[in-house]
Amino acid sequence: MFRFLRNIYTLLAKDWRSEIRSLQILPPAIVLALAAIVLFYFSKIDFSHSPTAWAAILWIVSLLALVVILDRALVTDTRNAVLEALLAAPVTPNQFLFAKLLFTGSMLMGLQVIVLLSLTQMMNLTISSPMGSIFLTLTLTDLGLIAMGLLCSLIAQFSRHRGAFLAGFLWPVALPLVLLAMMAIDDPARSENIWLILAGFDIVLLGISPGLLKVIAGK
Amino acid sequence: MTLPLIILDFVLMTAAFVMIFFYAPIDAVMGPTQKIFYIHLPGALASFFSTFILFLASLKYLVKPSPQVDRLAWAAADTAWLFCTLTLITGMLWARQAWMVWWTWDPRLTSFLVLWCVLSLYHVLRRSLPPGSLQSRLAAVFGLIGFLDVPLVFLCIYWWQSLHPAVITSREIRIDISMFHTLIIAVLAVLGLAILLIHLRVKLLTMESRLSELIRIAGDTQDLSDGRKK
Amino acid sequence: MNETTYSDIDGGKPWVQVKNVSVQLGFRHVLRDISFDLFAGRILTILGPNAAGKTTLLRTLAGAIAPDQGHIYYNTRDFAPSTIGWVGHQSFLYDELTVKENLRFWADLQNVKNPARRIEELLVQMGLRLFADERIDILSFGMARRVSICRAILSNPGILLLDEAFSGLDQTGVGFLLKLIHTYKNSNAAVVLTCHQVPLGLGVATDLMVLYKGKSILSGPADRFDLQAIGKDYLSYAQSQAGGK
Repeated sequence: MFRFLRNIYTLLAKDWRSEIRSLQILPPAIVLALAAIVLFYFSKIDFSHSPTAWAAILWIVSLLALVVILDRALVTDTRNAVLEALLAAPVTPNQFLFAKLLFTGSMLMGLQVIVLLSLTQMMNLTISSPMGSIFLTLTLTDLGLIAMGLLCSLIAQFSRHRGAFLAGFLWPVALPLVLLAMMAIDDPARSENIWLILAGFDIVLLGISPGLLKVIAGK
Repeated sequence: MTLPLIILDFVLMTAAFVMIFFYAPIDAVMGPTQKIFYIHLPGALASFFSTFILFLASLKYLVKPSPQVDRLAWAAADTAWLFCTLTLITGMLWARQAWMVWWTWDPRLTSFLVLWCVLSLYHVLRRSLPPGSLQSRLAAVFGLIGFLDVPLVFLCIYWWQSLHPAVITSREIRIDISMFHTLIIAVLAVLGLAILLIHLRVKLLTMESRLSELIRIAGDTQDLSDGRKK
Repeated sequence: MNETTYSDIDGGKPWVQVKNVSVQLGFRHVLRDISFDLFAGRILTILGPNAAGKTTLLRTLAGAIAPDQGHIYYNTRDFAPSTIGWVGHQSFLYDELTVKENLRFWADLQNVKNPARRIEELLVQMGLRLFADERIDILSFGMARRVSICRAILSNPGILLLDEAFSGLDQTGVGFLLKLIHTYKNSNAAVVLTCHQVPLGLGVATDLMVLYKGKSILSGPADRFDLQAIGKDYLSYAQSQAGGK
């Protein structure tokens, strides 16, 4: 267990160090998110009639940003075949995925907090749902999205299209999760059941991801 | 096996079309347009069937890779895409007549569109990679992930209020008995067509790979004779 | 890695036993029925033309590929990262991180004791001290190759796999590597190397193997063969030997 945590810490520290040095993920993702919000503001759509408009904007912006985050998240590991060497010996697929999940998940959730703040402060949208349930929905959806997204991102890395097609790979498979999240926010009475379904999806996706990672990355 | 399949499906298809146009009555509300339904529903079933084959073949490939299973997955994906497209088009024609719109964001329609996107991307992925183990591996993984969408398609029907007509429920069959007979034959004919198409596609892919193997062997032989000449 | 057995290190037993290993990549048979034993203090040089399967064999030994048939037995207490050092075609290094950060990252993952001292020692040994704080992406190919050699030997592995490790190195670099290989030999470790510079490979070899189209067509202790003939044209020599049998 100690070894597991230590390896995850080492991988995570490396990811953050590399990101802080190269600034290749967070700044573009934040700029893209803010640009989308500005466009929504100037589109003059009247959001005041729709109590869950903020959630729709949040997810559109999150999916856009997620593509940027996932596109770059694995580039450093696949370049120079580091991933192959990592998985050959010192690191298990579980450890690698868990570390990446924490890295990309923390970025996505941080970005979603920024988006929520911008929506309430810059667009004066009111969020009626309790914060606790919003964050539970966000966490459960983000987990599934990232588990699926990391696999799609790895597939995109190996295909000739690379990042350009990540969006294509990610969105159709991500859509059901995001729709469930919208339903949970839209109808609080049903949200407990939807959380269960989302959690079920997360468990399935997280369960199969390490095996699939090994299949994609090596033999 | 190819010829009996072709003959059987030809007979079923002919029977289905004869029944659709001459046996089944014209719907009282929708008129002749309702006959689209005899292609639409079997098409949807055939696309689910082919997607299921794709899922099983992908799973099998991940457990025990073999070229035959890989070809089956690709053939099933091709067929699934074809029937998915057919279902979407016939569905749109139906929707225009029944609901006066070409498209409505009904959950089942949306989910089917998602399935169509996944199947299309499966082809994009296949074509973006050189033939070989990487292509087969990534396609198998994507086939598996894409299939996880399908249970949600069904979940949606129960979870969201759906505009979509529930024609067949577990309690009763809400159509005329002659319509039901026609539907059964149409389903068998279209499923037969799906099986035939998968079978032919697998054969074609097998021949393609044998051809490239022969070219490779010819190249090797050339190498050896060049070596001897030296 | 499937079917790896562990036993105590024993001078009489081979370090690595490769038994009837076949590897299929895609639908192509890249390695067919390869068997050999590797003993402590031996250096196995693998020769072969392009696409013979040399890199795949090393990747299989490193654990990056599982054999489709056959087994690899490692005669060590544990198939831990510390038992195998692998220098591949690619550097296995992060471009954004510095030389020191990269080595520290791998040292932490491989549980190297007193990593700072070990890294300092290796940097001096490989002539990299002045480059310690440079990012990998600004280093020349040869310098990056030296760093990846450092990476491979961080944990003093019992088995060292060198895949075309000489390519891209200047004369000093080659000198460092040769010295390293001899040090490894003397400290009773096993080295497997592939290279296209035949004289270099033959110079250090105690054992030889010639791979051709995935098959081992010549294998055994180097002193059993006519090294001069091998140096001239190893493929013809191997084919004549195989024909003679």
